[in-house]
This record gives sequence, structure tokens and C-alpha cells, in this order.
Amino acid sequence: MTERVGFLEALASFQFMQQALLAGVLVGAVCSALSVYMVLRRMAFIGQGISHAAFGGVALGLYLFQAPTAWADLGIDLTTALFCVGVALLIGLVSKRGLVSADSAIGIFFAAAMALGIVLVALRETYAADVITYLFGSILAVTRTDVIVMVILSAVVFLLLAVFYKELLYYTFDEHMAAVSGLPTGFLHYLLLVLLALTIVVSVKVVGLVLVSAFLVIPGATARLLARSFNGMLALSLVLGVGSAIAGLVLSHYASLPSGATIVLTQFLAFVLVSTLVGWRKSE
Amino acid sequence: MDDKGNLTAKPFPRCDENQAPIVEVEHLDFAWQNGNMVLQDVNLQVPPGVILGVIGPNGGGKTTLLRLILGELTPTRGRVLVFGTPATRLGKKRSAVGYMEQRSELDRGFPVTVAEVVVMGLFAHIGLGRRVGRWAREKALATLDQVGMAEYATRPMAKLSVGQQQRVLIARALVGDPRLLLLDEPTAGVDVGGQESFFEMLLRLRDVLGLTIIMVTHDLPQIGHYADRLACLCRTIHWHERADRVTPEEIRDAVSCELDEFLAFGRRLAGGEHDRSRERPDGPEEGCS
Repeated sequence: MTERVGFLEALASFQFMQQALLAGVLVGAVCSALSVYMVLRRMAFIGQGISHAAFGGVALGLYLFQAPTAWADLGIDLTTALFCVGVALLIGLVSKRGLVSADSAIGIFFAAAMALGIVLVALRETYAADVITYLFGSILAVTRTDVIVMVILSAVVFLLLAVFYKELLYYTFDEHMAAVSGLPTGFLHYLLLVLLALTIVVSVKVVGLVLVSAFLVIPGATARLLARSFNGMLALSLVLGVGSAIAGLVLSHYASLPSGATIVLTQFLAFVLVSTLVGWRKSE
Repeated sequence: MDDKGNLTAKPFPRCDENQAPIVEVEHLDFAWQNGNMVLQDVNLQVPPGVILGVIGPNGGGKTTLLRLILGELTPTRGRVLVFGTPATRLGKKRSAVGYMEQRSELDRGFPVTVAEVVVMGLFAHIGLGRRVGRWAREKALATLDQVGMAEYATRPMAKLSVGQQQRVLIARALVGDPRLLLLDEPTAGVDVGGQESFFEMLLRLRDVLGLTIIMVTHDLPQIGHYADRLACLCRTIHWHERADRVTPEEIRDAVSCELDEFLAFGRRLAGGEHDRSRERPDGPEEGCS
């Protein structure tokens, strides 16, 4: 450990490390909160669809804002956000209207958005290295502007989750009866899609759009194995999400590994441990 | 329920023919958009305090009728009045209708406690974006007590038996203090012992809360015991003054759907085998039901 500074020491001395930790914790928290709904409503595929479609938004942002400035960062982040929300709403609209099934709608839009992304990257004159950052995530590439955008978007997601907590719970548990009782289930359908899109935007630079979907499933799926109540599942998922983000970051710091992948592997390890334990206890 | 969620006393509108009916269905036709006719010239009146059993073959339109009474579907022709108002325009009165849908594809392993499920029945009362207050939780506990499930309040729903889960769902339908309760196959998947105590509970709830209950069911012998009135629905309705006076001919008319089950049931009823409603001490009075 001679050549490598300790994690806490690095955290105290370098601003980019503080930003990285904040970004990691935010992504862990916001994704794990959303993952509860993703798992219970079986939305894993749509999570994957929108996160891959985000590539189109990123490429469009990179195409429109080519100069490496803080404003360009903001422009790219906002373009990605608008693009993802747009794709999410389109998927929601097409599947709700019954034009095609939900999984077909996801398959169509996510492939089209990615194709658009590839075309736009090819049209750019500069080298496409920064695209790789978005694909696989790099916590050290997170800029100050990114962190500010992440904080604001996470706050919006958490605020909406808190305000519509009970409605989303009823909608998730029993959609038909929620509608019969008079809750605006159409609104809740789109709300959840918008929250999903915003969460993906918050996470994409840290985790990479290839791996975001894992963040949106593993903490919730692990928590579900242990939880007895809905609040319990939310709390457990948050602890797992934030805990594995911190553990993964520390690990990636010492072992010089990519942060997003290390966090996902940490989450996966937790899932394997918990499911083994639960399976073993059931068989007893 | 008053503003603070306390239970308030209600009169017992027990089966009074002079009172305005709770549900009135007149010349009701219903067809799906593809032109598939489900209900034709259905006429029905349900006075306050009555337990109406709706039987009939699958696809006979039972659930559709409930959804029309709920105001979820609009009649193609005719009208459905609930509390004297068209069902589709109930507005705030809609909270006076409790509904429990057929044991559906509800995720029975969903991590949610019994109390959490019952409180859901109050969400529409509480209002969009508002927090669940203590009164709502207390109301949920009181309602669980009424269905004999108070001690299970903090248990996970997934750990309960089917019969217990049905009681919790009844509590969710009851927690908003409805005057009309619509139940779609409430005892499906419940064992025979559980069914009996379930129906006994319904009778008690009807008497204590002054409810009017419309229940779709396949439990033919059981419904003969417990319902005040019976309607056999197969596209159109066959309406009977008393559950125990159904004749085989009437059943045959009703069930052009040719179900031996219904014929046999009608014969048994006509033979008086299940004429228990007369003996029931708390049963409806003669000439009333």
C-alpha cells in the first residue's frame, strides 16, 4: 500500500474524491429507492430499455455541445435528461394505447435511440473517447456541474417519491383497485416512467448506461428477499444501495478497478449471500 | 365516519322494501366495443340491507354487472342507478361503494403488512399527496377487528392463508365505511370451513354496519344458505323473491347455458334442503326478503 494513498486520506485531500463519493452515494440511494418499484412492478426490462436509449441522448448532447466547458457539461446532462424522459413517455404512451405490447415498445424505442446515438457519434468530428465514459461509467470523470445536476435531479426524484408515496404503493400493489378507488393511475404510470428516466440520467456518468439497469434491480431484489413490509423493503434497499456504492468505491480505489462495475459486483455479492441464506433457511 | 375518522353510528336499513333501493338496474344492455353482447335487458332492484347472491355460468356477465354497478363501465342501453344516481356519475358518493375484486393475479408475496393493505382503502379519502395520519391507521385497526383479523395487523400479507388474505381485502373494502359492498367470488380458493365462517362474518357485518351486499359466487350450496335473494345471471337476469324458491324450470330458463350444476342446485333448493334462512334467528323477516 505504499504507492497508493488511503481512501480517507484521498477523500480529505482531493476535491474530485469528495465529488466521487457524493456522486456514488447519490446514485446508490436514488437507484435503490426506484429499484423497489422496478422489482415489484416487474419493470426491469423497461429500466434496461430506457438506460440504453440514454445513449441517444448522450450522443445528441455531445454532438450539440462539443466544447469541453462547464456549460457544455450542463447542456449534455440536460439533453440526456430530456431525451430519456421523452423516450420513457413515448414507451408509456404507445404501450398504454395498446398499439403494441409494452415489451415491443421498449424494444423498438431503445434500439432506435441507440442507432441514433451511433449515427450522431459517427457524425462528430472529434474522437469518441468520451462516449466510452458514458457507456461504462467513470466516477472520476464526474465534474462539479455533473454533481450539481445530480443533486438537483435526485432531490426531485426523492421529493416526488415522498409526495406520492401512498399512491405509488397502492398502484404498485394493486393497480386495478387503486384505479377503482379513484387514484389517478394514468398519472402514476407516467410519473414512475419519468422518475425512472431521471434516475438513469443521474446515474449514467457514474455507472455507465450498460450497467445502470443492475442498479435498478439488484438492491430491490435483494431487499425483497428479506423484507416483511413495504417500508422495510424501501429501507433495506436504500441501505444495500448506498452501502454497496461506498464499499464498491473503496474497493475500486484500492484495487484500481472501474467504479461502476465494482459497485455492481458488490451488489451482486450481497444478492448471492442473501439469497443463499434465505434459501438455506427455507429448506431447513 | 366523521372528520377524525371515528366510527359513527348508522341506522340499520335492514331489508326495508319501502326505502329507496340501493341499486336499481333498468333495461340494461352491455356490449363490448367489438359488438360482443354480454348483458341484455337486465332488470334488478336491491333494497337496503339485502344480501344478493349472483350466480351463473362463467362468461354469463357476473363480473361485468359488478363493474357496471361500480361505474367502471358505461351501459350500452338502459341505466344503472346506485343510491339513486347513475353509477358512472357517483362522484363523492363512490366512496360509499366498497368493492373486492375476484382473487386476481395480485402478487400474494408482495412485502406489505396487513395494516398497510387495509389503510390503502382510505387513500382516496385522504387525498392526493397527503400523508397517512394516525386516525387512518386507527381506523384500519378497528376495521381489522371487525373482520376478526386485528391480531394480524403487523404480519406480512404473504404469511397469511388464502382465507385470511380475503378477510384483509374485505377489511380494505370496508375501511371507507361503504353502504354497499360488492364482492366478486370472495371465497374462491378458501376451504369449506373457512367459507362458512366467512359467510357468517358477512351476515354479522351486514347487521352491525347496515350494509347491502351484492356477491358474485360459485359456492352454490353456501349462497343458498346465506343470501336473502338470488339472481341467476346468464346474459340476462333471473330474479327471485327468495333464495330458497328457485325452481328447476326457472334455472333452466336462466341457464340456457346448460349447466347441470345449476339445474341440480335448483332442484335441491326447490326440495327445501337448504331452507335455512327461515330458521336463522337474525334472518330477514317473512315477506321482507
